[in-house]
Amino acid sequence: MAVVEHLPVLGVAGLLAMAFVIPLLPEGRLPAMLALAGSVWAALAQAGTLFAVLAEGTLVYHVGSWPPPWGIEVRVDLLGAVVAFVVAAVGLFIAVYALGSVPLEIPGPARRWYFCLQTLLSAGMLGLINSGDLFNIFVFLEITSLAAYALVAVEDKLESLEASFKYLVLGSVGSGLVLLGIAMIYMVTGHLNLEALAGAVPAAAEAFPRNLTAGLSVFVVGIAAKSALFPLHVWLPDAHANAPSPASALLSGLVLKTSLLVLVRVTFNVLGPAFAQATPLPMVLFWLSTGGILLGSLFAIAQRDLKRMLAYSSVAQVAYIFFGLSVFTHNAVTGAFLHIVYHAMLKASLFMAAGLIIARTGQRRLGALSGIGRHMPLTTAAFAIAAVGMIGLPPTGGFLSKWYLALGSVDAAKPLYAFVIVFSSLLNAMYFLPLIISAFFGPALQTLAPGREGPLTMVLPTLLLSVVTLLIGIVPHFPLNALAAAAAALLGR
Amino acid sequence: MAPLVDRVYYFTSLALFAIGFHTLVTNNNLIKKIMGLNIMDTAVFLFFVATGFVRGGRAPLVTGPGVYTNPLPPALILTGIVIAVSTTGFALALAIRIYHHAGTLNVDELTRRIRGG
Amino acid sequence: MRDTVLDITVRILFPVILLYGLFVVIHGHLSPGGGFTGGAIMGAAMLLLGLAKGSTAAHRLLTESLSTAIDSGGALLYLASGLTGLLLGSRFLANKAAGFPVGTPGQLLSSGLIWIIGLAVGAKVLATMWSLFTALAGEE
Repeated sequence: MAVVEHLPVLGVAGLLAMAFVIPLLPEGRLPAMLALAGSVWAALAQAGTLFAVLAEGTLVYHVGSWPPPWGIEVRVDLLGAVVAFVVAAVGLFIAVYALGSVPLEIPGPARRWYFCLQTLLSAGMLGLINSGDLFNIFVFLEITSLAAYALVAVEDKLESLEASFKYLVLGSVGSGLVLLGIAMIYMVTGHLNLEALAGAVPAAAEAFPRNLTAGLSVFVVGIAAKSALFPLHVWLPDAHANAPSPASALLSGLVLKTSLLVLVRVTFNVLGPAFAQATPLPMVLFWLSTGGILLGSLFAIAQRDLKRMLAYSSVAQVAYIFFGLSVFTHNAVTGAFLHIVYHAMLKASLFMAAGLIIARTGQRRLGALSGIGRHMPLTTAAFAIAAVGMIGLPPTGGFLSKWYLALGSVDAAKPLYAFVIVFSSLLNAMYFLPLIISAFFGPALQTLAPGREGPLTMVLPTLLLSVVTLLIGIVPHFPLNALAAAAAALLGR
Repeated sequence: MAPLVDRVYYFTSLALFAIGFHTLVTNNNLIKKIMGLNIMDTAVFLFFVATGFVRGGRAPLVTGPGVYTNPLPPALILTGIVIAVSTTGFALALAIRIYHHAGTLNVDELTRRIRGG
Repeated sequence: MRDTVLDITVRILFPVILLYGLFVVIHGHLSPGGGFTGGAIMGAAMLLLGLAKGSTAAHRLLTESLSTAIDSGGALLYLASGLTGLLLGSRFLANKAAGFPVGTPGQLLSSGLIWIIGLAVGAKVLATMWSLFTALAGEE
């Protein structure tokens, strides 16, 4: 345990160090290489942490050797370890992809800043997941958000600047509400440390139930704005469609999930499922997420732009996770956690494939994709694998998470919920299947000059990530067992 | 009256929050939206600091026995203010870039410019 | 346009404010204030210079690359001092627990790591305020 216990801190510290060194460097290959080195380092550190947590249980680390309540606590439980590892690993795939993609998409002087922001974003996300107290979670949430706003704007086009501003306004309202929620919880418990809070909540719930409920509701609205839960999703399609492709993959795949993890921390770790179930939270989350699932899919069907379609699909997919968290049965919560993991990987590879197609054809219209499978077989295959996972067909991971969500709904004796899942899968199929079919079998609408599909650094991570997603869907023991145990532990308290 | 007076900071922060939100939602000018955001943030900071306030308490410098105010919320809010400053700085820089490209700070005008191609 | 009163006032005030900011930074562990407050005071001195003499003149003193270097240097110094605690066999950011000399409380050279971290934070805040100023007002 001796060296391993430092790993979560060292991973984040390494990324932060890289993020601060990159602005000092001259333009060229060096910033990209350092960003990659940071991602490799973080992925290794999180892999080590994951092994330690799987073997020995929750990892607790007191920064500066000060125990709480004085010191800052790093606390990596099973859920945190799995999600942090997935975030670091998918981040590594995206960092490799960015090596090829950034020179194609971003004008020269801004490239360095892209890599700086990408590293800072990863540091923020990993710090957030590893933090053991609410205020540090808030600080890292803000680091993540600021880096995300800036990543959208990094191309310096009017559309992306406007999208970034919209994202910033809704994100800042969200973070203000999150802080207000933290203040309300702190007010009646006197703690910010997650463990201490969990101990203090029962007494506080006895004495001041309304304060806690008010805090929770303000908090949920804030997280809903940050994670784009319907109807606060309006910023997402613009921001994710106008960002550079690797940034879209980061934002859609990872950033949405980390703010969702904050919601899990507050509802499950701090307030406890018993308290949360007694509030109107499950009902509110259910209706909003149902709205998000159905309307997000319908809007995705109506899109004509490849990246906008994927962005609306994210609105629907994030709603699945909220949906699972609203049910409070073991299977449903497991399904929600699985969907965090699988959607992170699937949406990242979809955006990466979309970036390749756009870079090769110069077209963003869905109609232009007809017959693209003949020109770009590898990319289209990666896209198809990830899209099938998104629809939720067996044997992909997407099927597994939806299966658990549906099982959980039946466990909770709410068959209506299971119907929503099945019906929405049909909607997902409606916008992904025709696309795949026309890409492989449709008439080629454009004649592309013969040549490679794209730089190897872009094709390889895209294909590899979708294949890995397929594999861990077929052999799901790693994320499934750990996440099921995490769900049991969180529901048990 | 007493409960009202005791909670004056909470009511003030509520009012500030409403003012900020109203400014944010009803104005079409990007700079005014940023101002609204700042007022909202201030409301949250006031609320958080007020949770640590003890009536009749002294500044939390350990010099002897007595009632102290809680030093933690101000320390945390200092961090919160730094975050708000960075967000505001970034938002203003964005507004400047948008003005460079579009020559306007009006949201409707911007939407027209983007949708109209 | 040059204004004699403004010019001379700033010439006198600028070093005083800068020195006062530095004083607040290095006395952070003894008195109210610290890295952030002192850094903000030093940043205010730079802002005063930039507003009074025009940002071109102020940029001669604190160029963009120097400001970036101070900014990143401050953050890296913070990280490095955190890592020394870890390398000395204790934990990240450990101070007394890692065996840093704490000195006599009340003396200027005391409190081990806090002193260095204060400097790092001060440098970072100074550079951040300056780069915010140049980003928002520096375009001419």
